[in-house]
Amino acid sequence: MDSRSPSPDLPSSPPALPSTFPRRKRARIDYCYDENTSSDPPVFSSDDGPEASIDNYVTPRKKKQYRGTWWDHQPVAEASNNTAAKVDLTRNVDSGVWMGSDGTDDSAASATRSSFGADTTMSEVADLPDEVGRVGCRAIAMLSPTASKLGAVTEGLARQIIEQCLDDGKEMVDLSDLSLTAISDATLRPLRALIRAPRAADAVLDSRRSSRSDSDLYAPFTPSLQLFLSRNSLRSLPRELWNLQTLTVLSLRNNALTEIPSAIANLRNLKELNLAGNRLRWLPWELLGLVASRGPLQRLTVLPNPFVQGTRFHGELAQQGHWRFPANPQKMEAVAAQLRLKLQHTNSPGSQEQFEWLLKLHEVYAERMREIGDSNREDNWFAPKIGVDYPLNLWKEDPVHLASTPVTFFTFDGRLERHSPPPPSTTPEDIRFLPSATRHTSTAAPQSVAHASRAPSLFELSLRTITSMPFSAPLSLLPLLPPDAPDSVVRALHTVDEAKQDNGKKCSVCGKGYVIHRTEWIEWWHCVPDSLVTGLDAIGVPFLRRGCGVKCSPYEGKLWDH
Amino acid sequence: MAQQSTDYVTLVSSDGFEFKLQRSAATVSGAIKRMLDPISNFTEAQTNTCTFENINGVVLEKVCEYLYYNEKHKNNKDVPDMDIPPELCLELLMAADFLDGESCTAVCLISNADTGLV
Repeated sequence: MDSRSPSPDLPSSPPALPSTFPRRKRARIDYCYDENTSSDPPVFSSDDGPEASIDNYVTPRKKKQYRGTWWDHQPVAEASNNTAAKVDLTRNVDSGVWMGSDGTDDSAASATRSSFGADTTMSEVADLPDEVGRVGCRAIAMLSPTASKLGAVTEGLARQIIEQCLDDGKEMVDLSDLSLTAISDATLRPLRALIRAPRAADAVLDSRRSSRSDSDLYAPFTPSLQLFLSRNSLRSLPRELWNLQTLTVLSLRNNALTEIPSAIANLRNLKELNLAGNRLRWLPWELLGLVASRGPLQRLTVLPNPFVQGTRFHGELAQQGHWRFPANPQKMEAVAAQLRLKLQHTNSPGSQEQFEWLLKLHEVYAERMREIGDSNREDNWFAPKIGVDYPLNLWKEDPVHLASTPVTFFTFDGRLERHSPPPPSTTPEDIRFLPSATRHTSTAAPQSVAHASRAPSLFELSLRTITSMPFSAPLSLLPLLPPDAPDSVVRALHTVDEAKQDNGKKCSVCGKGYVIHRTEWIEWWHCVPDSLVTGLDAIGVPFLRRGCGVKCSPYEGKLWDH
Repeated sequence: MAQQSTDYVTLVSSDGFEFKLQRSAATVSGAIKRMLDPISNFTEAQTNTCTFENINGVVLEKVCEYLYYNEKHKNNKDVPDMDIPPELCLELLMAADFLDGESCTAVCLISNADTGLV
């Protein structure tokens, strides 16, 4: 048998489909039981239809003929016609066996894997026009997508990339430039299961060669996930994203995001975050908790974004376009004194505001430098000398509060309290500037607040009970309400539902979980930890803050000491 | 004949249960405060008794518990959440909405200001 066949060259892998594809296939199948719908042997004679005979079950000597490597079979099958009669009896249905080269369409997993970016798939498609609909459908769809299919196709592509990363244990998931308009929870969910590719073998070898520490050898399987979603058209983000606790790098650059949810606080391992080039008006307060010196975030890029501004820089400053901070305490004090002088001699309220902002910033930094100097004088490891620059990480790492909008108060059921300014979160897009003040005086607090109780309202308590009820969606309670239930109750149940899906909200002042916020305001903070030079629009970045009770507002005690 | 306003007031549920509360605690609720306001001529104010046709005894008991809880924690920094049985939370939600369920001093102050009392 082997001697009869002309020994062909070994085909390269993956082998090109032979022109005699159907025959070869049938020839191969002859030594199986039958090409039935499954690979199981037929149990009843009726399984094979009218052509059933004992021959279907017994094919004794065929096996010997085809011994050898699989590519040797091809010429034999071509040469021999003795199986033809038998072949005619068989139905052309899925054999249940799939080989790399036969283009059955249940091969989605492997076929599509090579379909992104791989030239081989495209050449296969060109060779086999009748197979285009199967193997190359995704590749073709990529080339000429119809508008309606675009979302599904790109999302499918994202899913494949994630799958690939899961298979390879790759921690860098690059979903940029896919023109994604939305990502579903289901697409991102598998990333939770990602396990770092084991490096045990390498590590053992390395540790023998150079005595490395055990921590290298026993590296955890917990990945440090890097997710790149830049240059897509995302308008909102899936909730699942905030459950990926292992995320260390997240890039959302150049999307169409309008809001970052406060659930970002869940990403306790996030080291790098890029939010540039979106439509953000403010950032969530919770993000600031990640930025502070004790937080994990080392690199945060937020500009450009159409942030609401608290002050308008003009005159000399605007021409300069940036601001440079001195790095030693003497100069810092001097600049502060200069600003104080300018503030006194300026009459226009607009200019006063900008000098107030800068003055506050310099006063805080001067104060911090003084503290560093004092503590070091005792330790005596770094005796402060005149004119010596302080390292940035000592005094510029923690953000500085600059100004806040007046606080908006809400009633217990979430309506705007009377005589309260409109909530900053509803600021229309064409308004770029909000009124702000660098200091809150207690007289600014409405009289009602001073007498308010610190206990949560009964309404709020009931809602919190609903949130903590296990196994029931809050919206399933809606039919249980009487038909004349007030609007506020129905609205509240919807709010509970959203809060529950977001894993609950935390008050930005007292840190307790809540459902309906009672206070809301925006604070501008300076957080440029790694540079002495700052663009004017980066001096104050707005953070939206919400409180769970009327007493959770900046009018009550000091809030800005981090 | 109008009675004098007392230190204790009575809340009556739809099924006839009566709860006697301190006035200071009861008036935490805006609705009750308005009902019992001595300057208004409501019967409630004259008899110092509020009857709620839409709140039953079980729920009103919980409401009273809340009123005292609120009074107790008025100025406390760390207020623990009051326990509410899950089966009552919908009815309590409705009751709270009706009763203006918390210290609505704002409303009261404004209404007092309107009448020239503050």
